[in-house]
Amino acid sequence: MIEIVLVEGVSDVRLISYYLQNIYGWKHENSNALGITANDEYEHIESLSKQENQLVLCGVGGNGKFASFVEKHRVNMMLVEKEIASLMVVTDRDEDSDAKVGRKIGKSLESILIRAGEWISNDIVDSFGQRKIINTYLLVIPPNENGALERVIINALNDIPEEKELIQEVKKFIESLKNGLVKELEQTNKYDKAAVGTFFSVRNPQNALRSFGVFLHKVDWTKSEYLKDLFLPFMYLGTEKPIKEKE
Amino acid sequence: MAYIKSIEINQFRSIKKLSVSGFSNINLIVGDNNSGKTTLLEAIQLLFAKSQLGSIKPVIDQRTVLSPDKSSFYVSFIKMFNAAESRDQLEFDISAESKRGILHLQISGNEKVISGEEALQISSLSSRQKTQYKREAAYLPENAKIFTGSIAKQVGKKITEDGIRCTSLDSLASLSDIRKEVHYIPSFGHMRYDLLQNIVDDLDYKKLVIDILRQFDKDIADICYTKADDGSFLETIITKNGITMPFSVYGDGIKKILYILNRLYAASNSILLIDEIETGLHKKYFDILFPVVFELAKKFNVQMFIATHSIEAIDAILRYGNYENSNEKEDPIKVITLKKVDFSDGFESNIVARNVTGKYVYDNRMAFDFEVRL
Repeated sequence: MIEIVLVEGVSDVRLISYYLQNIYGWKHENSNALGITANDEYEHIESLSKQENQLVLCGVGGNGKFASFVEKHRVNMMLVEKEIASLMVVTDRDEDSDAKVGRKIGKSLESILIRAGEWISNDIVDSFGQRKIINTYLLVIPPNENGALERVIINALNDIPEEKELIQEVKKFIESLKNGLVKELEQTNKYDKAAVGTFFSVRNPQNALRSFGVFLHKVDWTKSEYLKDLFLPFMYLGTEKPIKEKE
Repeated sequence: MAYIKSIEINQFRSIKKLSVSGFSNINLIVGDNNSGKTTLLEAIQLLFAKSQLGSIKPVIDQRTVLSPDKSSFYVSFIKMFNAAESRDQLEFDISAESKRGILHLQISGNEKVISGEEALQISSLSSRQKTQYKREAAYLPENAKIFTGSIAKQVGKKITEDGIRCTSLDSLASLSDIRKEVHYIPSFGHMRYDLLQNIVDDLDYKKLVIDILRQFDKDIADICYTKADDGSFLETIITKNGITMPFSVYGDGIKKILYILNRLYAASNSILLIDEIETGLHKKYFDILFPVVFELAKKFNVQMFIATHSIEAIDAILRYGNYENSNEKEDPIKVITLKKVDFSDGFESNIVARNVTGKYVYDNRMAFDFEVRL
């Protein structure tokens, strides 16, 4: 069984890969079953396996790059031609509703439907004229508020006893700057990015200028109940999906 | 010009039902072993057979030509019917849409057991062979089989139907060629020689062929027939130094190239089928040979069906499509992948086809690990 997960940027790849490995037992692999390689420095492809199952985690290169990634890598043809069991998309909510994000993502996908918060079984016909099933799931993050991956990280840190005090202090600090000194911080996404950046710089001053991938392993993310709930759909990768019976 | 646009095959060998449409000038037939590639090539040949068993025989014999295990004609004939069919009523049919209209061949009938004696009387063996059989009675089986049925043919609006009868004692020595609208290159055909017949009669073509051969061996100066000591004619290469070398001392590559070019010339205005084009050829020569073959096929109005297992051959053929630089709407290459699928009961299977353009395969292979052969 091959699973494909499309996420936005390299930070999403790092966090989700960490989670899949530490919570759901997936193992890192050096090559992927689909033969996808990064087309530029912004795309990031990671391969995982668990028993007979393979998972290809693709960072599409950032916000707004989903459609071009799907086109460049011929993801629609790949879904038809390869033995792919499911496609999961993880994307930032920003300020959109689940339905709007679903429509935006769905526009790029040709023969399958995708919906936020729900596994859908798509019955398609491959190019040999044979029927096959591709399951889809859209995970919009954060689940119930505006924002992006940074808001998820803030919420998760807030939920980990060892990190809670520091993240709250950082939030207070960023809050104090936004009403005058740095007007830009009034925007939710900028506020969250500044908070996450500041948190990790203070938490690991010696690595202050390094990337998120370096900081990632300094925190025990498995302790966050928030993250556990949010990433629950990953539990079904490599196994049977909870498809709702059609009414 | 013979040119088929689509084909439909029912109950023929391993194929229960298969339809492929939208053939192009160059059609690559790919797939796993035992996926029906050679069967598809045979089906195309049978479309051009006459309505006589003798015209079917050359197609049947192609499979066993190099095999030490010479099955009887009857066994090979019966194997043309899908194995899952009932023995009471055997039938296969092949139809195609061609530039000349509908082409259709249907063979139907039934098989029953009769006594060896009765089979001998009915068989097409000569009276001398029958006498020999009787004399050596130990070799006359107690029971034999007989197939009784008909061959129905349609070419355009012309429809014919002839009765056929064949026993398991028949060897069917007399052959009737299939029509010249289709030519077949078996994977090891070059080992049987007949490499120069069409080339040496056309001096311009011969010059072109020598130029092509020089790209593989720069010492080749001429190709011709020479007389051996026993008076027979040998297919020979003459080197730049004037040395005469029979083809038997050359490797398979040169013979394969000549065999393809020889048959290509003969296939003018018709269909050329090449089974396992890569056999005998080193992959480094694909990029030299294939463009020449395809340009000549265009010049001679030849529609090609090429079966291959080789991914290097597939990629070299796709390079001929020049998809990076070409915006031509009509793709000269189609890639037909055959795949065996088992039915849910686990007892029966069928062959299914994927028919896509060369550009589709090329673009997919650039983007991900798209396996055309399966």
